[in-house]
Amino acid sequence: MNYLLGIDLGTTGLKVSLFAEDGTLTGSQSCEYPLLTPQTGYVEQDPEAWWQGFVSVIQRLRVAYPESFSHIVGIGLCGQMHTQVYLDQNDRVLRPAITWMDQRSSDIVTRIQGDPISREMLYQETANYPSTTYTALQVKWVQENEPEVWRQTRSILVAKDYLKYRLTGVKATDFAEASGTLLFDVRNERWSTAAFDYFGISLDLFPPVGPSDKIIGSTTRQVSQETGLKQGIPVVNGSSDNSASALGAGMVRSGQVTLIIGTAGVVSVCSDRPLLDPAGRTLCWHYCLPEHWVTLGITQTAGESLQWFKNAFEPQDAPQSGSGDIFNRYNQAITQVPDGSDGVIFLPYLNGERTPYWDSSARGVFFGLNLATGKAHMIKAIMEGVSFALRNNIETIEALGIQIDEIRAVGGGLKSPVWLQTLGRILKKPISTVNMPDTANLGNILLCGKALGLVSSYQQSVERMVAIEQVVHYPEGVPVYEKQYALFLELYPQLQPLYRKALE
Amino acid sequence: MQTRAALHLLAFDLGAESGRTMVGHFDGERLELEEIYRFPNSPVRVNEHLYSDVLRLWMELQTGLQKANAQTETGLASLGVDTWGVDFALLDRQDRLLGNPFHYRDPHTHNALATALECVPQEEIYAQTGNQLIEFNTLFQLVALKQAENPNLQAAHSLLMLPDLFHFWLSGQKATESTIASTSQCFNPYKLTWATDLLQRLGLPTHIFQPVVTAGSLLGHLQLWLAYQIGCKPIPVIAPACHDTGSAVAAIPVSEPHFMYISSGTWSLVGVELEQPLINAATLAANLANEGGVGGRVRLLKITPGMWLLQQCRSEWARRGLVYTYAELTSLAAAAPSFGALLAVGAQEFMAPGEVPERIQAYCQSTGQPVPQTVGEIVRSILESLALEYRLTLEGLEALLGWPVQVIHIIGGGSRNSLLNQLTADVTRRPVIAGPVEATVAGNLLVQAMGLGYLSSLDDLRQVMRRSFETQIFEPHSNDRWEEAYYRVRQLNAYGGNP
Repeated sequence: MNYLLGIDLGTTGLKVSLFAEDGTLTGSQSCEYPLLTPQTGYVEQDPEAWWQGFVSVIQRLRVAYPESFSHIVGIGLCGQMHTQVYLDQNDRVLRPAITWMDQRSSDIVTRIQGDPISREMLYQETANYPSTTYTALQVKWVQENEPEVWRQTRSILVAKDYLKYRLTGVKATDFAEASGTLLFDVRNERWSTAAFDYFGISLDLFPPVGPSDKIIGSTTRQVSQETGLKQGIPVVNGSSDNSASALGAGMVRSGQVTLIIGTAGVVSVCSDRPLLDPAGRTLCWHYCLPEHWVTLGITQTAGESLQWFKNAFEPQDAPQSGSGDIFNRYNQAITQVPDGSDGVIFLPYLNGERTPYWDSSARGVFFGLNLATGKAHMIKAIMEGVSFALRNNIETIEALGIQIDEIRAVGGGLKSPVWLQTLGRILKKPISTVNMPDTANLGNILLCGKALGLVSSYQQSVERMVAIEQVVHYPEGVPVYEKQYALFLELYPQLQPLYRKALE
Repeated sequence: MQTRAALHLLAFDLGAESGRTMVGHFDGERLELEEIYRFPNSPVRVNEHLYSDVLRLWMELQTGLQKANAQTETGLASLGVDTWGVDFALLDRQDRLLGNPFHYRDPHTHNALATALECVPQEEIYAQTGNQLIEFNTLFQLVALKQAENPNLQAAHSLLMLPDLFHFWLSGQKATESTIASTSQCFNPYKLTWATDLLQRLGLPTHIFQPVVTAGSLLGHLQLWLAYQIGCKPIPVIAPACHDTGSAVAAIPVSEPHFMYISSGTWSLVGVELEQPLINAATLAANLANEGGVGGRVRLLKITPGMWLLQQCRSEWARRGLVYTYAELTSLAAAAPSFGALLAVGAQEFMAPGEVPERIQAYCQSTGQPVPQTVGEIVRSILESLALEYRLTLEGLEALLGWPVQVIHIIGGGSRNSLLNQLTADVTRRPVIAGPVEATVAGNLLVQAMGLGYLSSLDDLRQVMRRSFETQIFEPHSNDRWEEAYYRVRQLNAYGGNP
């Protein structure tokens, strides 16, 4: 049996998993590394900590599974997007990596935001808007504020590309990862010279960009000595963490959606052509599969809305009693509340809203409170309101010319069976939840397996490898939700001028 | 036995001979069962045909609901229905029932399997559905309706499996629950969607199939007219594992992940639980079915003869005035000598009802074995042969899976037979854990508790089962003579006659 190694270089830690080629997980090991905050708003990481973390994790994996370890035939990897490493002419690290969470480029962002022509040019070129998360903005900051580093910089690599470089000695990146730089022409799968020119960054600083499922090199002798991995194991180009996670959850064709309800609610819609929104409401990234793109809709406060309710209305030191934690009790309470929460509608804009409104002034609203409203009604209304906001995002993307026919939900937010049912009735699409702890690494090894010829069809492989846990599908929905959704859509534009006024 | 339980859940369990309304009292830790109402449920014969009398069953469900509601002071938290597999109802475009649903034992499916195989080879039907090819499966029932140009099929707007039908009438929500769908041979167990391609190739309408939801889904609340009529609030309607075996296996008090289960009744369903379906040439050759379980699990199983032979002997003897209880039969067998004649329990000659004791004796004669004479000897032969049959299935599964079975769980009515439990332990050389008898109902109820958010996983559900029900452990006592008997039974199975 052949084995494949997946590496997920996350923001707080690194997870390495060993899979048999049929997708069966042999075992995983992980480690954490710190986020460095030299001053407020700055969030950095030491690239050497990633490498040392990887070396220690790989040793543990080798000890735990010596037999499988000796039969590794390929390595796939993904990582946190946007975070970048600066290398000098000898490929030494010049400064700590600046992570996607770092806010230091906010002034630069404000500058561009105030210049509608530049903003529009960047959207046309890259299908994305400037924000502090994107690589180009942070590079621009280094250029303006750290001339000594900038003078010595000869190459810039996004996090997992740096790890890949350490493994193989080859510098390369992929379409999915490049989508997070704001320097990449997402539609045409090439670096945008216009964007590079705009930022005054030289194109040679970034590596060549190619498909995710191509082998770019193999493990070096030095790596072999340091890690115990054999020399010459092929390493695949790989992709971004959210792209690999979606693949590992089974998103393999146009019309499928991956939904994550965490703090925020994120819908990633897969399409076989880039879906650019003329109105600029949604973002488009390249997917890790060739000729596939993802369009993103993001509801800012999804799981966070329930968390807010708990923080606001539950005593902090209440004893844990009854049937499990507070969220379980919320779920139990709302099963007896009718759909529509007896007229209460919640707008989940507690911290503004991203897609489709891009309005940081928006705020949360409970609409329709009445004498019959109880706590359980408000909790159910929150779940319904977040579901409406997700439907709004999905319909906004569908209006760009795609029919969405399947939603795959990953992550903890939909552990609540009750919320899943509500979401099913509001979205009216088939939703399946995926019961996999490590979809990112499954995505990694699928890309690697494809590059090596071990995977013939992504579609067939995910059918065999990705275990579905729950399915709901209520295509006709329920009348009360259709009525409430129409109201929900009307409420925001009515309130928008008042939100502005409230901030004055 | 009403307790201070926080939650009162209602299960309707429709079985081959009777239907029951059971209330489960669940305090978050333990489940207690209370039978509210029981009614007969046998197929209704009209001339050549056998039907399920769904309107009468619907009436019985309402009666049960009324009684349960009257007995539960704090109100029912939810309700759900489980039944046997494969049977279905057709509805017209206004959601009215089209005729009486056929019972799966109706002879109209007689040539349907052969007809289907003319269009699509066996391997492909298996590859798409993972079910054993049996002619009473939903797929072949539909092929039979199509062949007969049945007007109900032509007028059909929706197909609902029987539990789905009752859930629809209760809640107004049309959907098919995935464990019951997985018995239909119309369903892809990898994708948890209908096998549309297969249905199209057989010329069957695909638009009648309903959206699929998994066990634990809150389908809706009791329709208002019904709630008024019963005099209760709109109780949540939750799809349990609607296939009775699915509910039963969910309720196994598992503590060791590598277990085999025997759901023991007239038939024994012998299998293992997997994360993903296993469909390949070897599972096809071994005649293994992939059926859906709770939490996305798959039950890879074989349908083997269970208590059928014993039941047939018992009624045949009773017909002749020799009336025994099962307990009496088992003690007669316990007193009879071991290692006598053995049977290939799946042999064709044992399938038809009637003079089974004579056929057993004739079988022993023709296979050159000592012929069992007394009631005790015959029963002993049956039970030992069943235990050996279980070992055959176990070793077949182990060879396919690549992991050893550590323990065998026997659930259902047959788990009361201590002699068979001990024989199974001895023959398979694995510990046997017997019980609970009421696994199906308990599984139905606790999946509802999951759907309500009171249990977060199948593992939690099984912990409740471990706390709530007594089980009995049978440790294996090895005896080399079983090896020789096992060899003989393999020969009997392989050659159907003289070794």
